[in-house]
Amino acid sequence: MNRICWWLVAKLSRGLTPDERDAVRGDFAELRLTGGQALREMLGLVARREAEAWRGRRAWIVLAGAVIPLAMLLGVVSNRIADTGAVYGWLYVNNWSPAILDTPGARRDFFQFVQKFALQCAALIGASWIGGIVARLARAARHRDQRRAVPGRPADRPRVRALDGARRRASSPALSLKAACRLNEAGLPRRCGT
Amino acid sequence: MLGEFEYVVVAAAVRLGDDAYGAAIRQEIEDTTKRRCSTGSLYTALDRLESKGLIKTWMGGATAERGGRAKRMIRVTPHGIRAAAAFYDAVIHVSRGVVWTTPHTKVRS
Repeated sequence: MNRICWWLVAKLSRGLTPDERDAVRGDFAELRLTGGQALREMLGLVARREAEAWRGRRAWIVLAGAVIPLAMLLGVVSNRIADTGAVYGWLYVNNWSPAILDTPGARRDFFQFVQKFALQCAALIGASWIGGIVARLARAARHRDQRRAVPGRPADRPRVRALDGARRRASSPALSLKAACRLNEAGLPRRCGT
Repeated sequence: MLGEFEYVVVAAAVRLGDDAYGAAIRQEIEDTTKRRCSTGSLYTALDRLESKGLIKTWMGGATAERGGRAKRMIRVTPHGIRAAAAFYDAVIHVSRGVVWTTPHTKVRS
């Protein structure tokens, strides 16, 4: 049960930005939460993040202007393809005879049906795939917006990572003079044993 | 003006100083207020405070205790300190002379 909860936590955390995912899951580990507690916390956070995204006008415009019309179109087209395919498929399966392939007219009709059905299925798969790509791009754009909304974070990150690297080198037995100088310049305390 | 929970988060971050990060702030809030603090409310408040320029956050170092994952370090900006002080003053001023009464107790502030 615990493992399933942690697996769900990992899946749900994909809705967060990579940095936030790291920080939150690290917090869970540090607080020694059980799988159930972590799952509840993660659900709360993801729900709040999603609710935050729906507070803006843009999400509703995209939903009403693109997602709902395209989903309805895709639904209608799939339904029509399924209907046609089911009728002809049933006819061929229940009335199959080698004569269909032997008679030139029947053979042409059969291959035309197979070709048309295969093309329609491919078109549906393509449309669904493009929908998935668009959704992924929208999520990436949202994460980028979230990072932009936080002033100073992207610019600080490389510097902080570089300083962390310097800290680690400075706390190692073989003290690097260059690393120690970088810490002194930054005015940060030397951290040992982390 | 800050909200109540935002004030609590800022105060906890100031108390922790250089060691202020998500899990530590949460622990500090739970220990001092004796109330449960969820990760969702904490991280949402941190984002809101950062967008207002009241705190600054960055990704810090990873430790083995955290499974090698980075911390989201937090520092309160001077603007954040002023906002928290203003909130505290407002609470003190508005509470002056107020008598808190319940059916059984009478407490004077």
